[in-house]
Amino acid sequence: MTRWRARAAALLLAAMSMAHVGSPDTFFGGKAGPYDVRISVRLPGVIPGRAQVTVRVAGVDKTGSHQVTVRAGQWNVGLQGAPPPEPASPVPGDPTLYAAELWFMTPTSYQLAVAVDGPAGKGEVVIPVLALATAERRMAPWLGAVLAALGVFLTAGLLTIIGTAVRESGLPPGVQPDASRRRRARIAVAIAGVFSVLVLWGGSRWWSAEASSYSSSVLYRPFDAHASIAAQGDRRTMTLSIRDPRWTGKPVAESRYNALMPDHGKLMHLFMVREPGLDAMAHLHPIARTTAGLDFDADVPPLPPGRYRVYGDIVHESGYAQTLVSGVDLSVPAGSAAPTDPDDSWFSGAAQREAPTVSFDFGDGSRLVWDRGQAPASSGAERDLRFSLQDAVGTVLDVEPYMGMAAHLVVASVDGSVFAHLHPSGSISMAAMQRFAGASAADPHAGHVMPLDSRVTIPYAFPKAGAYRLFVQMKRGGKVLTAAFDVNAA
Amino acid sequence: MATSATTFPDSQHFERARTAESASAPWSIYAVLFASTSVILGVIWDISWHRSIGRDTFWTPAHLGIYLGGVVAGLTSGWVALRTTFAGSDADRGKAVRFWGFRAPLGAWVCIWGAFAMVTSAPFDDWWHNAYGLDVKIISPPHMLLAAGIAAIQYGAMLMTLAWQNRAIGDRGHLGRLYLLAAGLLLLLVATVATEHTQRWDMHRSHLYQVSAGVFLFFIISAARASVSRWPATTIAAVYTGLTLFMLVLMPLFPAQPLLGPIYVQVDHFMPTDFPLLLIVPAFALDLLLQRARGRVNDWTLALLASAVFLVAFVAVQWPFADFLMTPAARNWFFVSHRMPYSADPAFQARWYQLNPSEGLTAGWLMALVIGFVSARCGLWWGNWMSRVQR
Repeated sequence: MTRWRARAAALLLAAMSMAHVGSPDTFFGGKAGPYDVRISVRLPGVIPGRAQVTVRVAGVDKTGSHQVTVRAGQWNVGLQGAPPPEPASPVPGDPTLYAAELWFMTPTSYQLAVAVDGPAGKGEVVIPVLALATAERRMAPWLGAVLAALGVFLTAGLLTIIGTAVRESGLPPGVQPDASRRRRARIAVAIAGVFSVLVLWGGSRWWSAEASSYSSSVLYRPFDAHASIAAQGDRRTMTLSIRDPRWTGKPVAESRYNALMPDHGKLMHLFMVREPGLDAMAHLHPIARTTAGLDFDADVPPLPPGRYRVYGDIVHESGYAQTLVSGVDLSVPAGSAAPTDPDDSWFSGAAQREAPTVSFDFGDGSRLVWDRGQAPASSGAERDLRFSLQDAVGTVLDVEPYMGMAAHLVVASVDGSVFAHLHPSGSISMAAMQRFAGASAADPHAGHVMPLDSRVTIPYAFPKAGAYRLFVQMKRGGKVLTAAFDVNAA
Repeated sequence: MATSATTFPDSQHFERARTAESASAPWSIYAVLFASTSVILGVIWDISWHRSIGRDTFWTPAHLGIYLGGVVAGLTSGWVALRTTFAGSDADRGKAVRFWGFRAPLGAWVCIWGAFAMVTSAPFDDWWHNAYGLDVKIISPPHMLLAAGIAAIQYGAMLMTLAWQNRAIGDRGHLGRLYLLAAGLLLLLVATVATEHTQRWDMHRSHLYQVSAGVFLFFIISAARASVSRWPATTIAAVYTGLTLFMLVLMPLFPAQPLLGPIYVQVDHFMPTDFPLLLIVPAFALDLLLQRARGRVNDWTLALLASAVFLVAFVAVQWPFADFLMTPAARNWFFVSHRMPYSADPAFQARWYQLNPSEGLTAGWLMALVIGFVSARCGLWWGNWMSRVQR
């Protein structure tokens, strides 16, 4: 019974979750040639649809001094098969900001080229963007009422036309219909009425079929996955099993669900977050049991027992990234088994409440400082999340790359509806970015090797109002440091 | 007819009016014919737009053509209804049918219904785009409502010309031609909607001929039955062929660039429509049949003959023509078999000049004959009704 309840809870969680769990928009911070840019792609909710793209070019002080264009190509066609570049227009009142609208036609992975032309020359950056449909929209009652009224009007009008056609249209001018014609007209209307009901019924079935097809083929739905824990002595192994008709273990190269590729050197980044307080978290890197990639195993680190949300980030070679969602009960504390992967990390403890400047003390003389600024977070508004590792007197410390990045940030909403894994480059998959850069990239790890200054800026917009916990991870002295902050987005 | 109608005491008055009614048509007939032309050319333009540019807004010229037709037909018919109801003479009202207390010719009511269907489809389609994405499918419930509205406007125009033709006495040639023009415009819409089943690659498969016998034969023979012309079927098919060729030659003259991805084929001018089906040949054969069978066979036999004649004549020309369309000789501005939409992916391009294999032809022809028989019989029945429409 408990197992069924757990499964039901996992299914519910999966059903509630959307792209990358409630956070489908793309945010990027980086370089386009000589220019520092911040790019955001706000999806329309449905695909095909028009996404809103904004590009912020740092340091621009005069409107129109730079030309910015954007261009999106489907992953399997590339930019050579993309429509011509769209000019992004300067946003009045903010000379650094440019905006454009982009059409995404297929719910899949795209490469977005952003080009900036200004006094410092030309620069371009190509980032991966996922065009995901996440919206299931119902018709507003007033619109439903209007359309229903028009439908009744049209049906009644059609039946009236048929009746009058049979009754009067064949009569010479001025001749009144007799009883026989009137009776025939009534019969014709009755037959047409039945026919109309059949047409309306067929139309309704068709509509339902279209809605169902949208839900099953277009709407973002990560692979069905199930997490389980097996005990061997004091060792606990968690397995995330993918069981989905779209993932059979024999990936097709032409499909967006083609083979998995490593991101930051790992095929899967798996996160466990304890419910309901989000007071424990693990960032693990399970190993695929077979090359089919159906089951991924990771030793569970010493975490407190309880119910955990489980998120598995994977990236396909198409650049299509998804977050598998499940849940698992950890009934007894895991022992001290060696981590599956040297980059595994975990945390348990309390979080620091947000403030204009707040720091999380690691107890070794270092602390992670979040410079939130005076303005509290508000949902939907893009902002820079600024963190730095400092010593007790405020000197900024250097960090080592943790899987190639200066920092990893996990954003989890308390209600479980949002989960995102970010880096200083934003929400994009670095593996997909490298893949799209392809042979043209001088350095195959371009963008991956970050400066080891611990002052990082991560672009993001909290997708909805509510309480969130941020887990910030940096590495110093060979040890991964995890800080936790609470934030409320208005 | 007299057995099922009660004659007004002053019906002589109407007879006089009918006799005096000239063979020329009122402005409203020309207006709805313009509307019918505008919507169908708008539809063809819009399809080309989606195959050449892809991205659109409400305000594309093609959409404006469609909606202009809806507005002109709706307003014209609305005006006719109001005028007939409130300011018409007894003779005017006598030539109209009743609808919820109003009076207007039947065709006007059908046009008004079509305009309302088009108006209804707009907010429905807008919501559909918000709920399920922008146009990826032509065949969606709101688009079908729009198509029903367009078809109603075209059929309403046909009925208006038909009633005028049927009432007129004397030389009905001009009115007859207007009626056949209206019927040809409707055939063009029907052929456009059926395009998915009449593709070049399927011209050696019986399915195409089954669909053609089921759809085109019905429309051609029903319209021909109600015509006063000697060559009605040929004329209707000529309207379809002529306008298709006109758009085929016209559209590629204008530049266009794909604005949606993925773009597999670089397109720099508007895509033409496909070369028209050679319907004019079976239509000519049908005219010959109708001329020779008049008064000699009943409609059941005529339907069977029509099905056979239509199919034999159509297959005899379309089958070899399909082979021709696949040859390099057809890759030019007139036959346009080389023009690919921007979205034709490499797999599609690889079989661009390959006919799909024909399978089960014997059973397929038999089925086509049966479908054609049913279609022709229904068409004759419908045509008989249309030939009696006087209002």
